[in-house]
Amino acid sequence: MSAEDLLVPLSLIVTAAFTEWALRSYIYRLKKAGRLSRDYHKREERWVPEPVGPAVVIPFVSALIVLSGITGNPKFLAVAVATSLGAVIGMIDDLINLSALTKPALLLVTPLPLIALGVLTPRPLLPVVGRARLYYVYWLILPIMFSVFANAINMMDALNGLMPGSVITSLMLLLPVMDASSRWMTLLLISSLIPYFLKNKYPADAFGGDTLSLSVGSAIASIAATSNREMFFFIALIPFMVSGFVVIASVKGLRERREMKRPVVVRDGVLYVNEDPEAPMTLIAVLVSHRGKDERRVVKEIIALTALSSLLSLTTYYLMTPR
Amino acid sequence: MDKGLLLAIWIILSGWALTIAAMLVIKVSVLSIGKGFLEAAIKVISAFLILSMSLLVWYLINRELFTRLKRGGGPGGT
Repeated sequence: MSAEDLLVPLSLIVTAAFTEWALRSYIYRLKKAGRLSRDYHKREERWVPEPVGPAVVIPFVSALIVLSGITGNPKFLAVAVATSLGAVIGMIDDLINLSALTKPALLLVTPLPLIALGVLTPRPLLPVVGRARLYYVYWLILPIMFSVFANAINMMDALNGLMPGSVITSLMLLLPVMDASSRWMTLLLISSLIPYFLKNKYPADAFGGDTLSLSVGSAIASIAATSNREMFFFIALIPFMVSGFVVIASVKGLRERREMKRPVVVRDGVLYVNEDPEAPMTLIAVLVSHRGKDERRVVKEIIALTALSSLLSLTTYYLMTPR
Repeated sequence: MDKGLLLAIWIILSGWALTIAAMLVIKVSVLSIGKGFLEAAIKVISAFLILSMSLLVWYLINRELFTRLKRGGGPGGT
């Protein structure tokens, strides 16, 4: 048995335990400080501690930094710094509400640590094409990809358990396409998201806020880029990407959620599509467009859709990608 | 029959098909670029236009299906 065989499960258990402890103490402190947000999709008035994002991000980033020191692999450190940048932008957004243009613009800087530490190769593996050589274009596309991933995850963080549930499902199914270090980082991210999912699932006892969604988006984009599997992550996250793109197209430009008409309305705890023609078309609105559904059912359906897109990604990887 | 779920599945499947089609366009046009600047520029611009138009058509089709479903007509126009 090698040292790594022991270190992988140990790091996952320690990260999950650290996250659980951090969440409990952070939720207690937020409640004591009165930092609560309204959960709009419930029949009764419900207030939930927000943002608990730092309690999830700090254990994940700490684990990456420790493992970078132990293994000497600079990818761990690069992903840790990129994730932290996403978290800082999210924290600013949680505090002062960044505009719809400023947020994606700031997220363009998140891949800089990966470039600075030299952990990226501009040769992504593309479906149908195979290994491409994008020596110039890659560096132009990279910041846009990071911004798109982080914003897509952020836009889907709208219902109890939706973001962690679908991200965990998608990452678990994507594990076979990754190299060893990316798989390890992904498992660490899942280990820190599981305790959060248990607190964020219906009825939520904690909201991560933009601190969490933007850092998770940056972490996923970083892992995708360091493993050169960008397009397979993109396909697996199609439900997130579609929602982001369609919302931007429906409202004809970048707008903050609070600046748009609500895509769904809630009556007696049931979600219905907003009949207003100006309301944006989101994946949640599509799911309730025929008939109203309760929040738990919509979340289950989106997690199932994410599983479908992740299986499509696996199919594309194994059957349609020359290697 | 849950038409909302069916439409969501269709959006995911057609989004995936569009991504694969985009990769095919990249393979046959952009990655086969020769040395001539004019030929390269024409191929890159054509590929970009094809992809943008496909994305627009994909969006308009799905938006129309969504609007019909929202109005209660359903994709089949019942």
